[in-house]
Amino acid sequence: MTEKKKSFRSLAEELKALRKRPLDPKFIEEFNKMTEEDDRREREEEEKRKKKIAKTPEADL
Amino acid sequence: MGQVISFSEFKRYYGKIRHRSDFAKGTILDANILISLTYEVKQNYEEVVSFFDECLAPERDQGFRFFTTVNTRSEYLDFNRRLIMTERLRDIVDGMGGLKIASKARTQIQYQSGQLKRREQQGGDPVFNDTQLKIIKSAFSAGRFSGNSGWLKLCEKFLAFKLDEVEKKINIRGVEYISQHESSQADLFCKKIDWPEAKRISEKTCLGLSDAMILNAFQCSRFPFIVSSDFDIGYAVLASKGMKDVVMPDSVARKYRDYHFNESD
Repeated sequence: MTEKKKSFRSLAEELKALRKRPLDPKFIEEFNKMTEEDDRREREEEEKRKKKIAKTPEADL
Repeated sequence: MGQVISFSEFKRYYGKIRHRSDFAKGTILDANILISLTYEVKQNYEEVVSFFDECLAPERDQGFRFFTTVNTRSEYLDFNRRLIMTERLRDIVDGMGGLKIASKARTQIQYQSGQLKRREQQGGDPVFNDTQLKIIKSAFSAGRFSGNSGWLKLCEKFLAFKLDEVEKKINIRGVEYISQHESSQADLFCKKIDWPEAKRISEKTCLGLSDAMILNAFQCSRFPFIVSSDFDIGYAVLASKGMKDVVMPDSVARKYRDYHFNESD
């Protein structure tokens, strides 16, 4: 076997390029929508919790 | 006991044994060596890459073979899994790439990144360990409307099939997987790999079982040496009777100067 194979020096650079491959815009948009929806729901839940605490008799003491 | 051969001694060492018919033409690469070749941030990156390009690659092009065992390959892929995820998650909190994540997850990644910086200052790799990744993973799901799906979508985007690509990159550089189940590799072995021997290797110097399995596979092979930068591997080779040799970076090999092992052990 005398086949010439690739150099090891280029390996780190190639793997770095693999790790840094840009994400597709469609994925970013979908993911961000999900995060925004998460945040919106979280805020609503927080509001509900605050209102519930305000309504409890202990809150008046 | 085996010898620790430094990279700078390799050509002279291998010149003496290259024509011996009792040895197979090849070696096992420890995971730390593959990681050094992969990741330019590693302290001994230049030392290892230079050794491969100047000493081992010319041998490879003449038929010398490189192998990973089940342990070295899994450790190597595991490092890549953690590295990919670390860089991607840190990019998110640094505002690169345009991804938004829930504030709880963002806070946790920032906190874990701080821990990482401290570890890096002490010489560690800037890569999240599994404990940190588990904490970050749980911050993505707890109490969220979307549950686990945020984390799962990130895994799918960042990791899916990436480990295949990593493997392909090392395969095209001639790194093969060694297995006793592969009949075409039967001539690379001199005995069957079995558990009792791995346990004995571990017990001798309190070597981790995964490293002991790597050394046991090496001992069962017909390769004259293993390539590693793990101090424990060199220590085990020097401390145990009947061990074969280990080739190591000079920066690691010189650490054994102060250790004196009895050859009868």
